[in-house]
Amino acid sequence: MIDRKALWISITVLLAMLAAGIWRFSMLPDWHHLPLDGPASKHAVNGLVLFISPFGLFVATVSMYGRKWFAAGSDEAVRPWRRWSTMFVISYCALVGLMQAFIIARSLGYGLAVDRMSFARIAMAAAGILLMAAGNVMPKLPGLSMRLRCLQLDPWQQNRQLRLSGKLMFGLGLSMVCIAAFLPLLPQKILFPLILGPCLAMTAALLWHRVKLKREPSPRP
Amino acid sequence: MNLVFKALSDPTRRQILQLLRKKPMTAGELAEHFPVAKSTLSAHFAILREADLIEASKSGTVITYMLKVSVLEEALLAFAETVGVGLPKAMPLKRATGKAK
Repeated sequence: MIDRKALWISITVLLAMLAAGIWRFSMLPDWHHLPLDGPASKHAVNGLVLFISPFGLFVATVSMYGRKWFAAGSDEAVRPWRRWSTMFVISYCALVGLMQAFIIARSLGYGLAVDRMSFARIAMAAAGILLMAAGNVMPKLPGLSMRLRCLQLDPWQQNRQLRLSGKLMFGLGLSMVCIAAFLPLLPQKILFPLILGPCLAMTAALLWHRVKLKREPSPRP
Repeated sequence: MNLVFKALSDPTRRQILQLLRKKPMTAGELAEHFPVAKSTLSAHFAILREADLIEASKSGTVITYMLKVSVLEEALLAFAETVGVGLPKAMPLKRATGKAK
């Protein structure tokens, strides 16, 4: 449910990120060892890190674009969703594109003047702000009718589901901003599960809430 | 944003929003909770609609209202309710919030 222009921008950025990642990955003598502060640096991470951002962008684009396969509605109802999804995907493209460029540039020895940890904090805070902005307006979006009957909720149930989604998204974003601003950044081995864990928990909570709403009698016939 | 602050500054309008948090209600159902004239209540609905805090759907002669607040607006509503914005100054906070409920 993103417009065609945003889809093409997203695909272009994704291919560019993937190509750059594969190129850098193929140049590594040991793919377990991607230097972080120039080619001779001792600080290194697994080379597969180069594919996390493209994967994230792929998931975001497919989930935003693919919403139209599951949901339908009048033009009036779809328009705000399209605007919201487009805003999210384009901002996410810019963010992950910058992150990928920074990692590759630093591993080649460029941009060493920029502090790595400061950049990581700014990127994390920016991702958090993006989630907060998207989550904040989510409850204002109109309900769409689902093509699959098992996913169908009435307007009031959809309203409640969107309110919960918005709050969870906003909360996740706020916690990311707080971590970036106040807490010491943890090693990647811990940091990724720490972010991925709440994301999966949020998805599970939303599914559970949808099932719960479906079982409840609606206040309106 | 001014419209949102204006809408949330009134205890009656905040109470309408609190009632709509539980379930969608018709104008008549909402009117049962307030000892005010219907025209006054209609003015409150108009302000809430203008601020984009509620959504109205009409079927026949019945208008059903549904909550449509963003996360920050909901937080602002909770804050205004806790502080007791728009209530008489002499009224203690606990009594004021009790009365609002």
